[in-house]
Amino acid sequence: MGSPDAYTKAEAYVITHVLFYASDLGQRAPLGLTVRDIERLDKAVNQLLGMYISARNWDLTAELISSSHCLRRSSLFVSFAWDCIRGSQHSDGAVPGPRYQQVKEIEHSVHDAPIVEACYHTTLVCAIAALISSYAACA
Amino acid sequence: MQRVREIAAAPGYLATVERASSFLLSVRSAPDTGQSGLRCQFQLLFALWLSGRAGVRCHKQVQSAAAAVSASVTRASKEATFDPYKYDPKLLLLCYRAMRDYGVECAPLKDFARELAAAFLRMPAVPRQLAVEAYLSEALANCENQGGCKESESVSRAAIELPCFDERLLLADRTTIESVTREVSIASLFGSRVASGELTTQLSAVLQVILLQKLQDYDLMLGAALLRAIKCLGLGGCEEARYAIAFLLSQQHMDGRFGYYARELREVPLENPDLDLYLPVTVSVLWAVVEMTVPGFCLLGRRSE
Repeated sequence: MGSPDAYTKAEAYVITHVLFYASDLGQRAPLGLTVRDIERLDKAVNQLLGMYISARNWDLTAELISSSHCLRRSSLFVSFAWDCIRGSQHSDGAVPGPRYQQVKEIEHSVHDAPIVEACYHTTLVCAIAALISSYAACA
Repeated sequence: MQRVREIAAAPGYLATVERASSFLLSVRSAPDTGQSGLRCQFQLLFALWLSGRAGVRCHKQVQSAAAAVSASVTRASKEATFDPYKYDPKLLLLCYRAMRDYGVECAPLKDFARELAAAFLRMPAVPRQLAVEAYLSEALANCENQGGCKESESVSRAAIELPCFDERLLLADRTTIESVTREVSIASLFGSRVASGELTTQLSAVLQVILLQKLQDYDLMLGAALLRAIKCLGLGGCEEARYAIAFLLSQQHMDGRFGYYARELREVPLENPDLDLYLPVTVSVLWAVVEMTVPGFCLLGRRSE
């Protein structure tokens, strides 16, 4: 799989989405992956999760939390990742996305389209991650 | 003169170290006056000494660099402009050790090492932050007195347990991460002893991820420092360390320097990028490369517990 530090963000999203499809968003064990594939993906997801927490990218952090559950593995960083997401969530429930700071600097108010746009996807994937985590907890 | 021990790096890596040495030799025309000029000279000597220890045939060049540093320090000392406490004491002590290895005398550094050793011996307990300095200064003082390097007495008295670190380190700023790498160097005496501490395993896992993140951010100096820290924790063979060393090696220019900074230099032009940017980056990366690729390499020598 190569070194995670060489992955672009787009490649990190590819990994997460392959796992979402292979596991039907965590509803079943991932299909089409060998035990070795799962081992390697587990390692890569764990490394990428730590890296994107460090980069304060809550969008990929949430995607990778979901991926870890889709693999039916427990990453060392999942619990801390949730702490970080909780800490960054706004009082209205929005979770700031990677472009939020940049958009905010242009002085939009919280209900302006660019701010909503900068939080929309991240808030959605955090909600999905919470759902997948709750399935995993029930299972 | 103490015999220079040479343990060669694996052949492929040796070429990398040789190229880096060529770059260092090309910037040896660094100004030899003033604090920044002397700092560059110390860095150059340290890196050339490392290259020699990695097996690069550069005996004459290291000797010549050692002699140049000795002459600059002696001259600055006579002019009362040399204050050793303005420099990193570890770097000075390592340079003094390099000079001794190559049979070069330097009275001001010798006095500095003795002064430190005496101060440490007077202390009832050596503060953890100064354990490396205590180890080096006393080992050097023992060399002077008894013709061979002995282990430091005060280091045995120093508390060198690693403090507790956890996942919160993932969000730490650059300065904090640098200080953690220093803590690891201190706790392990640059890898010469096994660092102990309750959460060493957790710290290793976090540092491995931060290493990848810093390399993705193209912070080569911090990446190299993290790689050395990981090696000091006994995990030089882990997957992240292997990825990191492969990445660092890929960032070497044909002339031996490390790092591609064309964009940064366009945004913030430097008067002398070779000295102000490429030298510290190359020294830091070279040190990590030597630590990672020379079998059994240990900066201060292996210390039995």
